[in-house]
Amino acid sequence: MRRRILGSIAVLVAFLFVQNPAHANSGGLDSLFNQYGARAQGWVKLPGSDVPVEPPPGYIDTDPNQYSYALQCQVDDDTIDVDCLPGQIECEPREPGGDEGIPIVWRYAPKSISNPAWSDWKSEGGPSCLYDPKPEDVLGNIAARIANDFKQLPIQAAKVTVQPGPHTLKGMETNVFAAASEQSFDVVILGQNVHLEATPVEYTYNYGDGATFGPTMFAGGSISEEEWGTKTRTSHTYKQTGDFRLTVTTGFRGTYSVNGGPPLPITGNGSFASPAQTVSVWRTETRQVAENCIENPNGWACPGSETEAK
Amino acid sequence: MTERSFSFTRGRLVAALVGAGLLLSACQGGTSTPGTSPSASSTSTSPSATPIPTPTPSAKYIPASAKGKAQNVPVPVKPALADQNSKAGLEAFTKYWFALLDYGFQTGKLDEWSELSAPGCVFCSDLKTGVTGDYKDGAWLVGGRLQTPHVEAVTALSEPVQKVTVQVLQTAASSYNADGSKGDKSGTASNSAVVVLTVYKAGAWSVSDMHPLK
Repeated sequence: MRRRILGSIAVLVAFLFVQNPAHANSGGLDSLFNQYGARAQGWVKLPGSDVPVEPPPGYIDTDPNQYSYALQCQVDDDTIDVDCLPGQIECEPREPGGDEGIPIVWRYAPKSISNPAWSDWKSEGGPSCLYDPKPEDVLGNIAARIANDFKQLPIQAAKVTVQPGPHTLKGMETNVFAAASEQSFDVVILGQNVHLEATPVEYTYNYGDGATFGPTMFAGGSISEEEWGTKTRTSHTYKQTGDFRLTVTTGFRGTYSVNGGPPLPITGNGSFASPAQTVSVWRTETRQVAENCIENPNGWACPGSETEAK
Repeated sequence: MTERSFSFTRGRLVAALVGAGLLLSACQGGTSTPGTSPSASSTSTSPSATPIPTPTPSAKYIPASAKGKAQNVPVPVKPALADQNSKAGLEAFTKYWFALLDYGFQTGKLDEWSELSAPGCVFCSDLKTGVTGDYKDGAWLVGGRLQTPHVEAVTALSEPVQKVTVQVLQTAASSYNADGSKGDKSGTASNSAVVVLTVYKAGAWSVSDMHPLK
């Protein structure tokens, strides 16, 4: 399901590195062994080495698992249980005259086990269908291109509002807030049905005058006209007059799943270059005038005069 | 010839272990049939020519259930290989150590297991506190069985500390109170990895630390 936003004040969208959600080993509950090990420091295998070490400073947590699939009736690397075959799920062709799908089960194993043997994998969920002439390449190929494919999607930009806007005053607290929503998409990649979900989780405000705020979890909010000029978490005071290009970068936590398989994290940045919103910052200037504009149409700041406010 | 069957923690067939001459020490595990002497030579089922029924061990292993904790859990036996200062010896020791931990999850008894690890191992002491706590006041655990399909020593023996990558599978677990009511504690099934740090001293391996592998 896609939703388009009207009146797009577009924003830059970036994807965050994310921990694998909703999986047997994460979320609220885990095995007793892992629960008791929660306090111990986790170690890591750095790329290029088989020897686990303490995580170096700044190391970012990744999904501890690797994923694969097996045929639904497979019981070993090269053995099929013949009695199981009649009970397999049906994988109807998706187009008339097309190929039937292949009944498979998704499985996972710790990433730190290189080249897991058959018994090292654990099944995830019930059987599902895979459609592809070369199933062994599919998962890896989808993973390699998911970030790029995602960039082609019509991602719904967060709606950004500026109060007061688009014109505001130098020295005045200008409130900026973003409204972004969870989005999901169903697409076909390499012949497989891929379901993508993106949840906005943080915002970076770039006010256009060199000042930025964030990344922060605060999207900000609307304030009433009486409150304009008061400081909010996401407001900014422009110190110069002029036109500034304001952008809000929304960080999404993204997952994708292939043919109903486990949700896998979308890693890396998928940024969407988009037009920014222009904020015009004015200064106020006041003078004492003796006559009104009817008495003296050419008086200071009267309509039609040279000093008319533009 | 009397034929007996022993079951080890993961229900492996006796034949291979008997062949390795472990039957004698396995007799301490709790099965006893008065009047029969242990024999190290039976390796397979052979039909008996006499009509006298073969005496079965009276203390049969019964896994834990909602009705009660596991009964007659065989104590894992340390294979001789586990004392060897070699890659194979270290891996055998690590598998044995986890077999003792599995025994602990089934019985609440972790003394023998924790004797093999150092006090500085936080993961180890938290496991001991947790599991013995799960068996306090007559409570018990159902499930939570451990398997270690993949055990690999990854450091050279010349290093002062050895690191072993272990894949740990645990089945789902639930707890019961002494009165048979369901307890608060539970765990899901998991497939995860840890690194075990070990040292070889005075002819034996011991664990200095253990960490989850991210």
